[in-house]
Amino acid sequence: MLDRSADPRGRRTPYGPPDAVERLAAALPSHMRDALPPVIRLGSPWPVRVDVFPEDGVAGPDAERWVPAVSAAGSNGDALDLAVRGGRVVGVRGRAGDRVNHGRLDPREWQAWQPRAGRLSRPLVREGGVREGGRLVETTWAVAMDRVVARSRELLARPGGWGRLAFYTGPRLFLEEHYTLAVIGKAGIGTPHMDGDTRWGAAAAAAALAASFGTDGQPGSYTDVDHCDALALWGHDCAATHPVLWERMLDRRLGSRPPAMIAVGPEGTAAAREADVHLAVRPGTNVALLNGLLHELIAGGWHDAAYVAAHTVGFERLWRVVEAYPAKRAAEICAVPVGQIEQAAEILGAAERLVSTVGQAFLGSNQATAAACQVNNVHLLRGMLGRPGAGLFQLGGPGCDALEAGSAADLPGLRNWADTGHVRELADLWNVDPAVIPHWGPATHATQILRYAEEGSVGLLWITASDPAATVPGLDRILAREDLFVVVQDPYLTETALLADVVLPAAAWGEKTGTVTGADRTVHLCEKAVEPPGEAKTDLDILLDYARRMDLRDRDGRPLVRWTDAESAFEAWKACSRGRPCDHTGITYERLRAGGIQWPCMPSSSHGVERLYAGGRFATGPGHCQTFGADLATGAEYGEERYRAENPGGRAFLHAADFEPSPEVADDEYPLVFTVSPRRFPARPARLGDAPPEPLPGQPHLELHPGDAVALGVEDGDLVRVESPLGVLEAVARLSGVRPGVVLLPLDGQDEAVTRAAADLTLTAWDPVSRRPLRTAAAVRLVKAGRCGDAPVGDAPVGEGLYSAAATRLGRGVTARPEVTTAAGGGEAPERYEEV
Amino acid sequence: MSEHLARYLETLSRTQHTLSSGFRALRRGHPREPDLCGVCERLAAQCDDHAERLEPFQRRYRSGGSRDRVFDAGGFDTGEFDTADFGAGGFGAGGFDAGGFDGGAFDAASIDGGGFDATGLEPADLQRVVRGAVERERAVAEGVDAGAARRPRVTPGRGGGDGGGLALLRDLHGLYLLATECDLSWSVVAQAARGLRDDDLLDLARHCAAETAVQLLWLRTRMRQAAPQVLVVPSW
Repeated sequence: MLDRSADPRGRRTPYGPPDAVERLAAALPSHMRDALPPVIRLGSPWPVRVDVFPEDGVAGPDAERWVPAVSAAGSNGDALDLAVRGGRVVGVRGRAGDRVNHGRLDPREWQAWQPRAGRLSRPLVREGGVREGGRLVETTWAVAMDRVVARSRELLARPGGWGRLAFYTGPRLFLEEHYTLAVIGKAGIGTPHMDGDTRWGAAAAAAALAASFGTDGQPGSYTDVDHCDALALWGHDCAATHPVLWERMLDRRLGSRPPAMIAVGPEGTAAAREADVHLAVRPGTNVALLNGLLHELIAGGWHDAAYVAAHTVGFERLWRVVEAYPAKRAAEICAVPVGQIEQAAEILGAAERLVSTVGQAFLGSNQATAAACQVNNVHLLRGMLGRPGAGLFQLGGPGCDALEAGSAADLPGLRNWADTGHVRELADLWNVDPAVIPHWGPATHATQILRYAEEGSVGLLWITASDPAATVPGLDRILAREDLFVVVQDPYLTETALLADVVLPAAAWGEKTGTVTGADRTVHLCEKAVEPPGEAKTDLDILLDYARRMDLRDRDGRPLVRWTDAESAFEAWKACSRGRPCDHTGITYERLRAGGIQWPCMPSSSHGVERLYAGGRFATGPGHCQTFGADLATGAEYGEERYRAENPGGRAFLHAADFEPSPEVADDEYPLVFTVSPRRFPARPARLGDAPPEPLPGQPHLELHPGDAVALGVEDGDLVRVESPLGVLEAVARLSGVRPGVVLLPLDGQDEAVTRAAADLTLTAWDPVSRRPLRTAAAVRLVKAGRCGDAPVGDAPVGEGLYSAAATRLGRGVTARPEVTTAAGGGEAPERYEEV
Repeated sequence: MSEHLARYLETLSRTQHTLSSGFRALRRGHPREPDLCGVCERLAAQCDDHAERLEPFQRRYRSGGSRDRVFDAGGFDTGEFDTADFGAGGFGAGGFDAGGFDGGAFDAASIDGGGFDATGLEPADLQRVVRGAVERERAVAEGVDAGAARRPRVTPGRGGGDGGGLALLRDLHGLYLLATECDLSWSVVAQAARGLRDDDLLDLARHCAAETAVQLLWLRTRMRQAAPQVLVVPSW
């Protein structure tokens, strides 16, 4: 058994790259590979190491049975087996034969399967009508569903009924559930308001992939790590977010012929320590770095001119932009030594097989999609796609199932809303009028859905398997609106659930069956191991029940949703995916029981296509692509006509982007970086009947490093003011162990005014292509506003000057008094601002 | 003769400034729309940059030079350009020539009689917003603390806090028309530059026309996104 106390990552298993014959075999198309002996056909030299995390005292063999499941800890898609005894999950074990993890487990895995407090077992409804006095009380499924259905029908009967219902999903649904919700929402109700947690992470990754290659879908395979001779981690703290992938990388680094490694991102990560070249760029300057590297690659003649000419469009445009970024200029903008950029360019340029992973420090930072597209450009320029060892991963976070199946903003099957042919395909499949399917514009993004809910045009918000109130600033105020009916479907009584009108208890993973797709397109089956508690139902059953009660029908009067369980839902999804890049038609539950399968997988093949875009054929044909393109800087949509005129015809796009400074980049005027520590979950589990948690009357305080404090003449307890071009915030200084140069505002126990002010201060940018706000950090300066002891205490009036942040952008260098103040009492009725 | 071009460039420059203020006003008028923050500032800066880059050409053609004599000989001077609609018609008499937007280009010009007003979208509101912004910009330029001078009066509103989607749609609509004006002017300037064999001006016109085209696309994209919900799904 694994001794986890010694090393949380377990025993190292170094290995070298496969030999040339195996690499050649790995490059063959799947139908030709079928003829090879299994060792060569499927083999990866990465040694198997089976991790077992048992409940204390229960070793593997004590289990009554093992049930196949998928990692619940991350988005890597690790296959594992659940040990079941006495109707409980008593341990997890990595699956040895799986192509993703070779038996390894995420160190957080066991924790992720632990039952948490606050589990729901019966439906809840709010009694009392008025939100103020209303309390959540237990009820029956019939009563709860009747309320939801009655409200849905009432809203649909109003003018513009389709636009009054909105759905918000989290990553803890299975593919089948996402697809069922997509059909209910997009064909039954016809609402464009469907989005979810994917917006905050995976959306930028998906947008970048679709912009460059035509459709979403990770081009690479995890086995590329076996073959590669260079690894580049772009803002990706791999050890923290994808530990199993990180182990594969480390094992390669320890074996024979190790790959070179480049890491871009902040100090202190495992990748930063391990890398041969670590580029600690200033936050927010990723595009400048990439432009510098692209400049070096092109100027040094390292790009594959034949590949670029045959398989890409936009090379001239790209060079026109990156020409202005020689390494020296990029180094100045990014505040890294010029030698490091040249060194990194050399590794990228000399690599024969390059694997890149792009993580949150890119996808959640200034110019997110544009930066991710530049990494795509590195691979396109060097022809590093579609062959063993040439892999690219845009790892925004979990939720690719939501994006493929269409429960988020996109149409199911990675279809293009602007393509009438795609909409007709869906209308034929579902047998509904094409006009019902919302395709008059891109689906509403999450922030906009919440805006509509705030304005009152959305009257029902259904939140599934997500707890946005804990993470989105100011959402609790929106959810508490009188005229908004909130349905929360979740295994737990979350902060969001406490604000709901109806709470539907859902089954957790291990209590339901369905498929999950990992980051390299591997589909795994996650089976039911134990019964859900009490009356909790699977998310699929709840959605099917809703469709039945709403009596959603197709054009011929037959029920719109005709499947009844997970497997039949999967079959329905297969029909939807046919012919699309994410074709699942060759995958069945039967075959999944033998192991994970990558999409696309046609019935003729024994396994899926391991790498997309082999031979430089991309999904950019006008009838095939997922988007007709948008301007990276503004998000302006180019439209079909222009797309056709550009005639990509299966070639990829080299998108160019100029570096745009953002307020998150520190400089001489604003030398410090202001950041917040997120609100943690309440320490005490929420109990039934609790009122929404009242914020503790904590005094806002800012943590800063003693060294900075000395330089600024600030002492512990002084009142200090943080100023940025976006606004001002005042608080009490606390000297602590934060990094030098950083000012930290802990949001724990702060009221909404402070939370909002902090959110406004750090709302540094909006990514126009993936349509998400980027709240990371802001460059600020700090001034002393009062002596130690002058600080206002508890009941002191909260003045306009105190923690107020302007929502207006005033431009660099202008520190005006904000016109719009977020003073105390931010929970008041929304306001309208007018000139006097 | 170059007077005409100089005047035309001056007007264009003014319209660019107005458009720039308009983008900033849009951002300020709708503080709760998070996606406006970066884009509006960026586009406003672009417009200012266009106007700034026009300045040397305004000087060049105002003062006259060897180029003008060549141009004069072409007989453009007596052409329709001066006598036709541009001078006498709604275009000149309307806001465009007489002080750009501030003077009331928006309602005075053909827009008033056109689709914009007919849709009943109260263009006056847009004017208020844009004009307010223009004045504010001016106040800032003159060193007056705009924020202090114009403390916003807060009146209870419904829902969103800034008049909701309809006001946004209307403001975008107005800006689109303004941007169209710039777009048109740049193509006219490009033609003039060709006639003058002024490669510098032609380059500038091409560059600015391309950026203006993206501005138009963005405005159109944003309006298309907002329109269905705003017009079909009323909030109450």
